Amino acid sequence: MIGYTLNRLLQAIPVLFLVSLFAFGIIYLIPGDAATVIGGPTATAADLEQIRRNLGLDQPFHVQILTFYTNLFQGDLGRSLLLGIPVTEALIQRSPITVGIAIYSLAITIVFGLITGIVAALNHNKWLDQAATLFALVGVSLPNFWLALVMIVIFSVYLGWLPTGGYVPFTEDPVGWLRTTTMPAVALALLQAGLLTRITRSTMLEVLGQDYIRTARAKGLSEWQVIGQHALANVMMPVVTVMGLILSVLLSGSIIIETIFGVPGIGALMGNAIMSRDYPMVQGGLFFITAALLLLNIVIDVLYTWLDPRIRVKGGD
Amino acid sequence: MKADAPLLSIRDLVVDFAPGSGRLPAVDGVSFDIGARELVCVVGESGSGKSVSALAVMGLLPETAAVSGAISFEGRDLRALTRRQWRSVRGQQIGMIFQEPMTSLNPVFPIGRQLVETLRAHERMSLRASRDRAADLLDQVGIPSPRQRLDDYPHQLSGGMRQRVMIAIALSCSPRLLIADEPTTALDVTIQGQLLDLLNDLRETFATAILLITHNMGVVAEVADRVVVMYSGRIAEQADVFSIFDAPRHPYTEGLLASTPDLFSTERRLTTIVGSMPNPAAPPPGCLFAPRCPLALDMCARERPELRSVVGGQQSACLRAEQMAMGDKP
Repeated sequence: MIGYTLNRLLQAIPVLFLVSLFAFGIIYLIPGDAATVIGGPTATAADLEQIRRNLGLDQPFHVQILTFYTNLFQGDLGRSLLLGIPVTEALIQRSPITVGIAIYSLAITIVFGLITGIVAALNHNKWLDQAATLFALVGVSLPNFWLALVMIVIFSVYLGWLPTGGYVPFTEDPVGWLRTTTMPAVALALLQAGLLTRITRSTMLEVLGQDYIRTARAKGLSEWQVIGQHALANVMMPVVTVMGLILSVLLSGSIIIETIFGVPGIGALMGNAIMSRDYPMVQGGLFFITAALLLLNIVIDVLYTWLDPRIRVKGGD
Repeated sequence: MKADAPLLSIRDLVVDFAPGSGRLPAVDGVSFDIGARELVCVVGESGSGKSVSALAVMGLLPETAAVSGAISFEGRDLRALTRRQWRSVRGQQIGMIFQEPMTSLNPVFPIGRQLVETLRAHERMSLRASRDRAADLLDQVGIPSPRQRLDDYPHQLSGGMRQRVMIAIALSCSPRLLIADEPTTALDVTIQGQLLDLLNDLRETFATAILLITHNMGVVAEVADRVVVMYSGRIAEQADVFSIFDAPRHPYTEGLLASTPDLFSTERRLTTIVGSMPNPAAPPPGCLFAPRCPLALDMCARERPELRSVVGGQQSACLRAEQMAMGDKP
């Protein structure tokens, strides 16, 4: 299994290289002159010159790319034009906020998705199943920004239970953290929960028809042991597989959700950077998010082999 | 319960997967008994209702199946059991092994765990004691170095070994009855023989009755005390094993015997039963076997015969059962 993990990490290197190349290239994808776009219509010739120098655009191409990679290997992703601080620093400051909400959202997704999926499968073709299927359909169809706005109207404006936005760090005030992060987490979880419900339901239905479930019943095990242990252990595998997909949807969703709720996480950071043409920030953020997702997916794959003994034993040989 | 009452008694069992559709039920009025320590073989083609009858005894049919008739085990009406009561019957008083050893064990749990949980579901015992017992059981079913095997996963074992594990699980709580649904069909011929011998030995050790479902008359000849021949959801004939082989009273039984390969036969081609089982959606009006029967008369196509006693304990559902003994052979 260690060999497998190393192997997966090595495979990540070419992907990271491609992504870094893409991040580097973003500045060249800007139509026309990058400095004019960044500076905006009010920029003077001196401003433009300053921007070019700051971004190193006045240097020859090979010097630019060399500088980019030298800095990258030193963990330097440049300096944000908007915030005036190093991109790495901004990313490190904002990450815990997004990670916290992502974990919260993932917890909601897993608990809700698994339970509804299992309940649906156990009540196959009865009204509970139909209700769960309908929920899943609504979940995957409703845009999460719409849900976010509706929740703000209901829970903040009419009922006044939760603030319309903002963020309180967990370490300062856990209750305040819950009050500010619950709506973003629920809005982010909806789509994934619907997806997970569908996958859990269909996998559970398939597993329930397997011979080993019949064996478990024939052995006189309780229904809890049959469903909660024998079936669930087999359902978990496909569920873990989609976890990587769920995480990436979650991170991309956080751009819009964090902007709506005014949560100063990575998502809002990237959203602002894109809108204010803060290219170093976009470059750095792109590289950072991709690297994080890549690592998470490797963790998930390793977890998967650990869950499935058929793979685990082969990998251990 | 009377002293001479059978261990398992099935009366007029009907299992219909599509009630009201007019289709022939999967099992249609089956009655037979199994005595303590008796080995009864149920034979018949695929789709004759053998496995469905066995699953009905275990209460493992899907909820959509309409079941009627009486099934009593040690004088207890199995069809009236609650879920909780079923759990003390399954695994503890009736064990079951299935046709597919490759898929009958849970792939993500070690085999030791699958044995231990059965033991602990029915008996109060410590984890350590149950692991010791599990290793003993694996040893009894002929698995070498059983203690090391406890932590193996099913995919690390061959089909034959997995079926041995299934037998160990089924016998773990010393059930009074073991139902074996074609336990050797999916295995190599050499392994089949070993497993049959094993079952026969364990029958003595565990003093258990066995209901063995098979379509192999060679297996029947080797191990059966009594034979129930099923055709299209009904019993065609039932008798002790000697009567079945020496003087079959149903042309279907005769056909099954004739289509069994015989080492000493001088004929080069095997006899087959021409045709196939009736379409359950459009069964023939008379005897269900009549369209394939070499002895069929006009009356066979009009009248559907019921199972009746012919001689001694031998029962047949053939209108011409009496004539069959008089050399009126095809």
